Amino acid sequence: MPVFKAPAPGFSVRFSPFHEQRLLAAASQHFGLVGNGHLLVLDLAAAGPGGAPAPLFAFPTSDALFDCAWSESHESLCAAASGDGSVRLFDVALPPAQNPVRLFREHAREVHGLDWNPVRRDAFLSASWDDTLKLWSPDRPASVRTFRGHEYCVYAAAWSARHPDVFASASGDRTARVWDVREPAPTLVIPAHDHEVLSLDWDKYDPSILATGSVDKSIRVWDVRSPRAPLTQLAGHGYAVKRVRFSPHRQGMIMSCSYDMTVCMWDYRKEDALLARYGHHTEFVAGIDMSVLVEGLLASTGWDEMIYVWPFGSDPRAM
Amino acid sequence: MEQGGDAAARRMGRIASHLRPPPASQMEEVSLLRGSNCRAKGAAPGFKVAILGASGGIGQPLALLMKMNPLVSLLHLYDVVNTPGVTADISHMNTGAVVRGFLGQPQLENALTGMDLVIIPAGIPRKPGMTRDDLFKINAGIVRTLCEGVAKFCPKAIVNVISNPVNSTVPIAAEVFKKAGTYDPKRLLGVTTLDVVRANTFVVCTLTEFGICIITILTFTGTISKIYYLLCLQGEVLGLDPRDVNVPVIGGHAGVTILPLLSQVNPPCSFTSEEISYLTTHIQNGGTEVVEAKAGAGSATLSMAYAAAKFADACLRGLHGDAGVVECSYVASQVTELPFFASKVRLGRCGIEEILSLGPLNEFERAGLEKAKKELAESIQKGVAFINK
Repeated sequence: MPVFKAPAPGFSVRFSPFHEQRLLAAASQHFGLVGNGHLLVLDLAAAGPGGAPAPLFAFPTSDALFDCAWSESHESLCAAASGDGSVRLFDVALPPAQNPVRLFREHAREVHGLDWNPVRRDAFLSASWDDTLKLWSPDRPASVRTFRGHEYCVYAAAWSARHPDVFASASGDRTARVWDVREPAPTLVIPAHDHEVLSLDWDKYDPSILATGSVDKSIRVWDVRSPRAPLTQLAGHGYAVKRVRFSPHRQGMIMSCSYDMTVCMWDYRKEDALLARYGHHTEFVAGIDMSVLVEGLLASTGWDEMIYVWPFGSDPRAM
Repeated sequence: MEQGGDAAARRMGRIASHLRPPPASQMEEVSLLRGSNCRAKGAAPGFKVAILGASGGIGQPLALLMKMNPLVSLLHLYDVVNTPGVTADISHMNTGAVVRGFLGQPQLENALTGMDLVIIPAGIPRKPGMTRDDLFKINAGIVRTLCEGVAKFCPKAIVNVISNPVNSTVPIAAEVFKKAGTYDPKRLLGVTTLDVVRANTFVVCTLTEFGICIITILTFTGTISKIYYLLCLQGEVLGLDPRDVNVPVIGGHAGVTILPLLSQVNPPCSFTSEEISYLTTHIQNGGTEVVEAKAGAGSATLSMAYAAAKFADACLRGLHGDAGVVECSYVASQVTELPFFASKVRLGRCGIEEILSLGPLNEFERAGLEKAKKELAESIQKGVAFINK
């Protein structure tokens, strides 16, 4: 299994929707508190048995990077969310001198989450600690929409897998809100947890189900049609849940990572929901992703500067 | 963008709050979507609690502890003497509960109307040489009067009876409620928490003392392997916090009717038979120990108030809807052939949700149980007879 060493603590990984072997990673010096960030594109095929291969593309940035996302329309375009409030677009096919191709500087605080619209493919969202989300298009110089409603930091945004204009956001004001891009105010406010909600994702197979991960160490699965109470609560992490992702291949399967240094796989429809727990990282796990192109392929990165890619069911550290 | 230092501090703050989140009730700067925080007098979210006998030795510290409880929104203090002073004093505490005082029988109605939980510590305390039964006549009359008031003015309230002898006053309260037609066995509980509290404390103390004794002896004889084993055990035992220890105590609340189930202690510890009989006797005579130590100045009031507040908090958490609230209490029960018996009960929205079974008892405990049942049967009969004569 490919194992990469990042130049700094890792914050996010994403599989490319175009190339099975390509991975995007965002890393930030000094755990994202001060210093530079690094955007990396890694080739899984290049990882041979001998030392760590050089990344295909490596770009340092002036401030920490908290999240990254591939474009769904251009195979070499990607976006990075920066701690100085800017969103940067990079084209990995162009030489470093011509990068970043776009610099969007509108947020007043750190941009913590990014998500590219998988259905319309022409727009992406940024979630920021200035309590707003912004909708961007790579062609437009300014944001298309700003969504105000949250009362505290917005940590994550996720587009619905089925409806092109619907997305949800997770915030430190303990709610998850479902929005429609055509409306300025949220369509639905779910008081999801008693503590900050750090992450959320939609079920790729059932468009009304979403999962939220929170500082209260649990993951709750919600049906937006009856948001008063969660469908189920997945407990098992020892510390705050940093990210949740639904599987693009298996209905009901959720991958989560946490400050307790583990990555867990769940099936929320089962009574005994925890399927697997991976303790391969030696620091907080901050980024996870599940590949759309290769069934069962998982990636994780953490503050121990390691990036692991492995198929579900095997040990991430096995060579 | 502002200074780098501010940003670093802010990011550090976010990580810290993820790892050690503040308790939900303290996040004031974030607006809550559930439950508004308006503090209209007596209408704030929380429960209404009345303490009947609030100026007494138990009542005063109990009023102090209940005023500190965040689940209490309204606290009524009733007694036949001194209530205005106690109320004025307690009302200066800067916690959320609103306090009102009521003095004398004519104000009992106002004290009790609308209450969710009524705690009754009223009564005279034991003096050296008295048993709990000597108090019987006086305290029985007091409990009868107060329960007649509860039946009339707040029949749906949960009642915690502390007045001694609890083994008899709870049946008295039940008879009063039956006569008034408002009896709900799920809402009448006798407070035996002090025995549990004592058991938890004595278990930790004794293990420590015994451990040290044995080590001293063994060091003299030089049995190296035994010392090593006991030192390992000691390491575990000395690390115990009485708050983490839980001993179920069943039976009743007087002398031999107090039956600590040391075989069911949590976390599991094993005791020698000397330790078991020493502990059992110590727990059963805990109250007498304090009465003698106070030498006429009263009986256990401070530890009783602590235990009563702990139990009242459990009742409130049950009313609030929390799951898994289990406490030992003296209630109307079918776990034995007696009409009343103390055992673990699960508390919920209507008082007692479920009376848990006694669990496996060992030889010693079974023998103790027989002795306890005999004395308990007499006490219950005495209480019932008092009302019905």
